[in-house]
Amino acid sequence: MTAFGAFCPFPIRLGEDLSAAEWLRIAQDTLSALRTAPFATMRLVGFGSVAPAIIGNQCMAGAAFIPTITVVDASNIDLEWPSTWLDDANAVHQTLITGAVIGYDESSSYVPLQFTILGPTKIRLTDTAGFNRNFTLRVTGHDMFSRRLNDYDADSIKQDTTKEQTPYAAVAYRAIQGMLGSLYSTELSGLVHAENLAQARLFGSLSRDIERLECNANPATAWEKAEDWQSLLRARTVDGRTGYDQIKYNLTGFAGLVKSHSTQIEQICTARLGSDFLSLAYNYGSLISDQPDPTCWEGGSVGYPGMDLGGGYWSSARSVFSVTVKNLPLYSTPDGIEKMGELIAELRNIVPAWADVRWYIDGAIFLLDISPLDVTPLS
Amino acid sequence: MTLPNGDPLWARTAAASTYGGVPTKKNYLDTPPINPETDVNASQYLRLTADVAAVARTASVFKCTLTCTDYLDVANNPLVNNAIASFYGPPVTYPGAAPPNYYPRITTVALGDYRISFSGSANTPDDFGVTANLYPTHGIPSASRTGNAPVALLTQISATDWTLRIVASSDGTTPYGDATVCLDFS
Repeated sequence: MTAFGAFCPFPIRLGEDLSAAEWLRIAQDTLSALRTAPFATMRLVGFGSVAPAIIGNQCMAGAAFIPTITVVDASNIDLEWPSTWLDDANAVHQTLITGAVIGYDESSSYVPLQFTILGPTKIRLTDTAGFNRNFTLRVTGHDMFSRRLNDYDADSIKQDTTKEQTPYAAVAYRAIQGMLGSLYSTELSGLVHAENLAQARLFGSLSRDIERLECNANPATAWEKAEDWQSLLRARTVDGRTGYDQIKYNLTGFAGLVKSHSTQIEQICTARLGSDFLSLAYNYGSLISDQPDPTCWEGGSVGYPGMDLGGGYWSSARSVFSVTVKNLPLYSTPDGIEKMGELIAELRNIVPAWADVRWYIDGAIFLLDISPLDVTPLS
Repeated sequence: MTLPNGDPLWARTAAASTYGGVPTKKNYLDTPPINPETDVNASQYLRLTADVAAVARTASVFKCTLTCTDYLDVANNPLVNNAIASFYGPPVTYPGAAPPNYYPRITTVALGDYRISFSGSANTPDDFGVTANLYPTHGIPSASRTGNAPVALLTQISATDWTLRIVASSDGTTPYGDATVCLDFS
């Protein structure tokens, strides 16, 4: 496997050896297991008037995270964990105890043991028997339920690379070996190998730079420049996403537009305008997903599909929805304008995040102007 | 042939570093993903390894449901239903006294009194054939039966063996031999 090896160091190129589908499976199974994983499992030996000994497994590593035991009285002890803990990647997590399961030991007659959650970090165990007993305690709850597949950068947009199926560095390595000729060793060890490998990785990184430049030129595949694209496209923030996540979400959301969006627009117009709303017409097809013709960077000339932005062709033209209403003069009054403001605000929640909604009165109708891409900043 | 690094999960020796997740790991030449649609960078991989290590530390290694019928079963040994172990996926059902390889042997000692032995779980292989002793250190029992409520008491008596007693929850001593018991070892 070269994905983690000399010719293909991080970042891993999916599809080179480790496929995108395999990566998604690893990430999904890890996440699934994490959601229900106990925070701590421990055996307490000798519960009574003294603090029991603990034999435990914790989500976190190290003895420092074993709970502090406080003997309250002959029947009660408190277990308290630090309010935060570090995982192996040195990320800080909140301790958040939500429950416990108790397994009883037979070292004494059975008397129910009770637990009380005293806070996110503290649990009280009450033993009315009041003498030494052993039991196993499994504590549930940690803040890892907030973990998302995106933390592993694993979602369905992932795909196998079509560019570096053979590592660039491996190609360069063979080329260097060929250029050096038979006077130099071809063994996969020793100084010659080390020098060749270092140069090959350097040349490989140059090839990667070219590909990265290409990717950053496209908002759907930009990483370093994602926030610039977000600003440039005036992408609205949705669900707290920022940067690359935001752009990716917006573009995939746009590509995923379904027919119901057009229906939704009609429904919202009906709800907001009431009996004033008569009909809705479109300048491109009959659906919001029917986008205007694609456009190249400037000048309004029609582009070709290869110039799309990943989530659909970008366009300098706009989708315009013509809304026919009764009482049109009303919508020039303060009340009417306020009503339209509410309509626009609601529509903005359902159109793609990188689109925008405007309206203006044109003769006997008003126009809902939904632009899939505001090209003003590009010109 | 390449074998996985480290021990199987049930050895409880895994840390993020076992999976190649060390804090010093970084992208080559500090370059970010070339194409985020096709690449996984070092920090994302570190996140995965840290989470896998966290899960592995508290993961259950053996679960089953015992059907105890002391008065009905010819051998008086419980039936082990839907046994799920870390080393094998599909649930397995077996007579307690005749476990498949690496599964615990569960036998009756007296009425409501059972012995669970993991002595046959030495050198249990994972999917790659890497072995480690599957000797749990924690166990959670939960019993139920028709009639008076029981409670299950589980005690580790050696590195490999546990006792399980099922008694009346009302007095903590009256044995019951006709309960269903869920066991969860970690």
